Amino acid sequence: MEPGNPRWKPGEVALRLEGVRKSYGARRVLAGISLEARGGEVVAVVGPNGSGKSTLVRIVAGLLRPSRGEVALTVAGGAASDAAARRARVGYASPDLALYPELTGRENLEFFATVAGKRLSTEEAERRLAAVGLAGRGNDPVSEYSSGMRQRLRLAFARGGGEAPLLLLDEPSLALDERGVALVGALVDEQRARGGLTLLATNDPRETALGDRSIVLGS
Amino acid sequence: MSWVREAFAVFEKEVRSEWRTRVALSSVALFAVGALTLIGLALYIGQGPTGPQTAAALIWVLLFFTAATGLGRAYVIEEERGTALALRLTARGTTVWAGKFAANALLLLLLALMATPALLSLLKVKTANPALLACVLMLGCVGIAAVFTMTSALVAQATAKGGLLAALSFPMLVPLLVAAVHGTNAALGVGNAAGAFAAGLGDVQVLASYAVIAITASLMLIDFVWNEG
Repeated sequence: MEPGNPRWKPGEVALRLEGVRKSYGARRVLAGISLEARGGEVVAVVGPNGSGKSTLVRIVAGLLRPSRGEVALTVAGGAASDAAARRARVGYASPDLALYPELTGRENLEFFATVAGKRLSTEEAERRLAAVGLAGRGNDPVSEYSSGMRQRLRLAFARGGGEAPLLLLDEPSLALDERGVALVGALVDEQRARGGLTLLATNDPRETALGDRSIVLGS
Repeated sequence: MSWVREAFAVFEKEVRSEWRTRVALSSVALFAVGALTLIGLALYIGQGPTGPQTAAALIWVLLFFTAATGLGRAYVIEEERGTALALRLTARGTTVWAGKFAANALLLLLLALMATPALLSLLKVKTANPALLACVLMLGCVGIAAVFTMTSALVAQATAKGGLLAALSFPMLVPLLVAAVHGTNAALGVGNAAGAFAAGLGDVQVLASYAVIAITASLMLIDFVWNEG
């Protein structure tokens, strides 16, 4: 995976979380998380199972509303405070995210690019698949993919064309072999080289090591 | 143009997915064939004449329950399979709704196109005004598809999806079903084409207004339903 030229200058991408809380009824999942991070950084979100790592990532992605607190993503001076604006600016992969099993890998990438208002040629889709180690498998239905291949496809979905200023990866090495784990490292390095920001929710020491710093969520 | 292209991509994906999995298609076909067979058997046993009122009611019973069986899955399946997350991240709520609505409407229209002549032939009921009948069927199917697509989005994250879908959809569809049955009865039962048109014109107007309102309201509300964030 080639890092390419930096897309964002230092300081152009910034994420700020202030007192983010999330409760489901009486059960509090997140108790006032605050964070400031800038483009080029990789922040690992660590903590035991059930500590709210995935919930935090979903809140940052704009997929879940916090019970309290604020999330603000700034890209080149433009603020994306509301959830819809953040959704359009993030690349996201998580174990809960599924792609259409009856469509091929290439059809999935083309479909999601089109509904996001972008045009994706067949060649570009093949290039994106090749970048995650799925060269030659783009015309196979996702239902025929192994769990590791599905995870690679999720990474291709999250990476897109490398245009997302904020990359959110929730357990990105799940079901991946050693080459897959190296691929995650390359993806994170590529994002860093572009001046983008990465948030990694993980319990895997190999992934935690990719972070410049960590925030630890409570037990 | 971008909105149309995105909505069409959702429609195309729905049709392609349905063609490959045949989940809604098989349940809709099974229900329609089952209902037609039962009606045929009942008529064979009863041997009694069937009027246009009964035919009109049976057509809409068939279309309503088939829609409840097949169309309610539109959003539910996205939540169950986990594909809703990727859709929420990339697509606008309105384009997802429009694409799913168009696919549902197409499925219901195809069913109406095949089941109505079969049912009328079984019941030995003649059509006074085929154009009026086609118009009533088309507008009725569009209205039903709009309501079921929206209620599918509403119930997708609930636990008792099946019961909720019918409970929410039926009260909303009562005005449409009244006009649809009345309009179908006019198209079948009034002696000549002109008389049938005059008798059914008001129903066509109600059905068209209902469809426009259902589509507009859905497009206005879907973002609040679809995006939790």
